[in-house]
Amino acid sequence: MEDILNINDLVVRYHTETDTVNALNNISLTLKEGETLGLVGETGAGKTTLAKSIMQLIAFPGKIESGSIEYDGRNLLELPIEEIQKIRGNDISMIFQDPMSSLNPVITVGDQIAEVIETHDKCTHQEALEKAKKMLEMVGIAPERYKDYPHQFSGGMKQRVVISIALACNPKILIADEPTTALDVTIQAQVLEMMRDLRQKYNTATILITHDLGIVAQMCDRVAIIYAGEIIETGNLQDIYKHTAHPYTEGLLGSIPQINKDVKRLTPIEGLMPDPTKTYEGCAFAERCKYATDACRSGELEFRCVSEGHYTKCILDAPFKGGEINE
Amino acid sequence: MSEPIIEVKNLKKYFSTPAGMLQAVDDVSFTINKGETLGVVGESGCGKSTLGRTILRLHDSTSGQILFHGDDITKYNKSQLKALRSKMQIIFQDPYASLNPRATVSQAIAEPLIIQGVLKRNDKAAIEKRVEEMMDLVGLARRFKNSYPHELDGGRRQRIGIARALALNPEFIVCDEPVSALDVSIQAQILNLMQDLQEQLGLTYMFITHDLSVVKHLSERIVVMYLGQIVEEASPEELFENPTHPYTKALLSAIPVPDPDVRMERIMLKGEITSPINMQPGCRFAKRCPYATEECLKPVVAREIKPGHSVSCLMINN
Repeated sequence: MEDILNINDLVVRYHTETDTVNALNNISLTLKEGETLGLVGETGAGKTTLAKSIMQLIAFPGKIESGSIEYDGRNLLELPIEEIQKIRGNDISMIFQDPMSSLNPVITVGDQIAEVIETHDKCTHQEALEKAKKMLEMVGIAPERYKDYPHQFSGGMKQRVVISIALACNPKILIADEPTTALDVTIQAQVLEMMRDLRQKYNTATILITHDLGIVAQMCDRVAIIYAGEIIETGNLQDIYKHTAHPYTEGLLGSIPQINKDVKRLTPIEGLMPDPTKTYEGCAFAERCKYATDACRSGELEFRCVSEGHYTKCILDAPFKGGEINE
Repeated sequence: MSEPIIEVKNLKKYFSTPAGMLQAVDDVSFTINKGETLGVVGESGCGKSTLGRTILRLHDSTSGQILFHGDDITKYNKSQLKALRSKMQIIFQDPYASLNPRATVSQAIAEPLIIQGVLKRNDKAAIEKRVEEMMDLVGLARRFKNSYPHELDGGRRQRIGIARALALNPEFIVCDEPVSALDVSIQAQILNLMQDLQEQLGLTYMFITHDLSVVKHLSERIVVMYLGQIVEEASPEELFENPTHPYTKALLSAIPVPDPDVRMERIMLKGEITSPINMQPGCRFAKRCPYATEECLKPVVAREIKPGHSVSCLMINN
């Protein structure tokens, strides 16, 4: 499989009046054609900032300081806004977390889907509406409802509408930012099932942003774990879940109560994420890491290859039991 | 050990709306024993929060009984209720919305003590002592005493919520989705804290959540709610090994398991939860149930299929 998206050394900062927030620190990531990559991290880790950077939606006071995002042989960061607008929605599109607030409440859902189609394809409003109805049908909503407004739909249906907007122009890359976090579990299962079907049908490469390791295990091919604006571990599902090579990933896995296992007591990660306005030497996780040594707190950390395709930023040679904690 | 602390009998809570009667909690009965945790599971709109609040009499019930140590508290008057409040407390879901933004940590924790007359408002030293005790108990560093909620993260805020609920030494606490708004690593810290406190102080919890894996971890018994009614009740081991009601089965199969080697067989439910206004008799889940027949339009009663495991489904024949 070929790389479809290549992110290199991306640095994003938010400059507030008093501080500089280091949102993304030298992020490098690749997405291959047709694969689903899970981007996992907690609140404030930089997941959404990364998604917005790819879409070029970083707004003041945020700024992409350096790095490159290559799509289709071009660096998106160097393209003029007109070119970016052609790519957005057409080649790369995004599903936002909250379906309640990502739809326009005063425009019918049919018109909202048609808007994307009209913007990118040369067609009349009528043709676009017809296609919009087909999109609604595809995500499991009766096409007659194209005249309805967002408030007439339930949460799960609204998220289906948002997904149909994102997929209307058959994009090559779909970025789904916590697409089911606001939904109930049974509705979440429906939406995930639908996303899985659509992915098989259209072979869309997907970046699935979530904090839920369960969803990742069931939906993704590869995983990147993000902590304090850095990717700290990346690999396939087996690598991450069974041969964990970073203490933070181990901590995340130990923090979730699992329904298929009996654990008397959870093993949480003590402490909190570092303040993103401060800079630190060495590993971002060292403060909270129970295995940290002096060597962890100095120098610049590089990715270390654990096995083919499995990389970690931890310098320690797995002092922890790796995947075994999970067995 | 198994002395009941809360007994709920045929509890109903209806809200009158312009469209008709909203049957938020409809004929719910269960018992919680001292020192136990009862997990209440269901999706948004199933009435689980209303149930919790009705038991604490934050809502007045429409009918039915709530016995606290054998005494029916639905008949309590205002002064009896005030005394009761020090024995029953609640931890709310959203630590961002449930704290007064203009009260410092120490004011928030001290408030119930002052209201209940345990400590005098002007007895600064005693208040400070008790606040510090509570902060130590829930693992909140004393240096945050004079901080405001906006200065703290979600996990610390939830610790304030817990400290405040515990300040009066209650026996029974309703925990209404206390960890849903928190990140996973913080969620685990709070769950462990709540387990420790239960052991240390002999607390009884009613733990309301939509997350089945969380209640499995914490509870002695679980009730599953759907549209204001309990559809299944069992111990966690029994419920997870032998889920019987079609809704429980669907709910269990919908949870994504964080293990790439486990592929759950999914039972997809059609449609979404229906409106709880002017419900017809018969099974409320029938419209979404893959096994529903004509029979299901008849009223259902809970049946015990094994000791301690009861199900409200007509299709379960022995």
